[in-house]
Amino acid sequence: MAMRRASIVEHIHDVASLDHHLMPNNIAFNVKVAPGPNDSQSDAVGHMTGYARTFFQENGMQMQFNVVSTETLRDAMRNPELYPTLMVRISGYNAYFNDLNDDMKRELIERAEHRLGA
Amino acid sequence: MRQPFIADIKRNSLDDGPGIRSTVFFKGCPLSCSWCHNPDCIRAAPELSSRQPSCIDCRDCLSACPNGAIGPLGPLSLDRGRCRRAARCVEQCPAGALEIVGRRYDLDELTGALLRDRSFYRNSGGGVTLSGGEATLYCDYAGALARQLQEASTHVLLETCGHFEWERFAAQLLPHLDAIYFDLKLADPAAHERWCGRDNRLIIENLDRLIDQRGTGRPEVLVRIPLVPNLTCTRDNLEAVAELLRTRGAECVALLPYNPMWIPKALALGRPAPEQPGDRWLDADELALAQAVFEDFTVL
Repeated sequence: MAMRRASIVEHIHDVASLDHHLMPNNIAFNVKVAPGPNDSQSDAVGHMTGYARTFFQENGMQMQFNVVSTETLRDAMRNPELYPTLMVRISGYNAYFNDLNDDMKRELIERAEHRLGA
Repeated sequence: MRQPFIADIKRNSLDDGPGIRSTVFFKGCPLSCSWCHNPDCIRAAPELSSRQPSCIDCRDCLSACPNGAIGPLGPLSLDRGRCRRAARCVEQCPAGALEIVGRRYDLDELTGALLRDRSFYRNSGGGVTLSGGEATLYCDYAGALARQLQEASTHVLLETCGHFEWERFAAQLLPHLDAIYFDLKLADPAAHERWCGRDNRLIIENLDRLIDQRGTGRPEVLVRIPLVPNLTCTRDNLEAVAELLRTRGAECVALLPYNPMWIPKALALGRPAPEQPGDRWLDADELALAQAVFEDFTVL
């Protein structure tokens, strides 16, 4: 059977359906979205608003966006001096990408990337 | 009511209309454009797709097939004439390289599947897009689907090549559409027949009929032009299409740059990739040419 990669809307339905009362130590739902080169800002913001609003209407608790492409993160790992101000969202806090250790950088790079438009 | 085969339901569609949408891909198209980005939707019947890069040469498919359709080279020697879509090979393949494209949905089942994401549509100004293939081959089914979706407060957009029988379309599907993306490829009828399988006479007649409906509360129509290197993205063709649109008072167009990502899909269906168009992306000069020709339009 062919495996089909789930889209962000399926992730949102699934995470929002979890019972947060069973997770007293918090839940971290980290989503990386990558705006495409042809996206207008209002389109990108509109889509992200749609994702967040639906998540919370379906009783989701916490959602964190990283709006950066995997390509940028890979390049920042190779050439940190070119990205002194690059910030990323971890789990409930921000950090400068360059301050993270390699394992954390790799984890951010490997988080599933959802393209915001083509 | 003839039930179509549906190739796919793509959730989180951001490029097939406004907002966050789900796109339904109907199988079957009256055209057969040589650059078709959805080659698995040209034929109406279900078909076996075999992705060679995933194949591990185990030949389990050969022994699984009850119709003797798979030969000694595995899927490379698939005899599509013998294939009855039993799908035993699909079940057996350990690499997940095989798939039957196209399944039927009862109307209510399809509506239900599409309404799973109704909150996303509502929160983003999105909805459902009917695409493929050509949904207008199934006006009664597509119309009933669109009506159910509209009754559930869902925006419905049709993507069409424009080649359809007007009377049935106007009676069964048009009343239930909020918007239409109308693709226009080649202005010259002979070139259209050469590269798309039929001439463009009916397409242009239908465009005229739809434009006549403007301002009557009918669906908004946006003309889209696929920019295919050497075939549609030439000065001659683009200027002819632009003039055709100007005489009809069209002010907005969408330009769709060609990409070669459909080629692996065609190969998986056992179709050779045609020499034209090639496997390169539309380049910056070609895009600039198209934008210059349509300078006096609003390009979306």
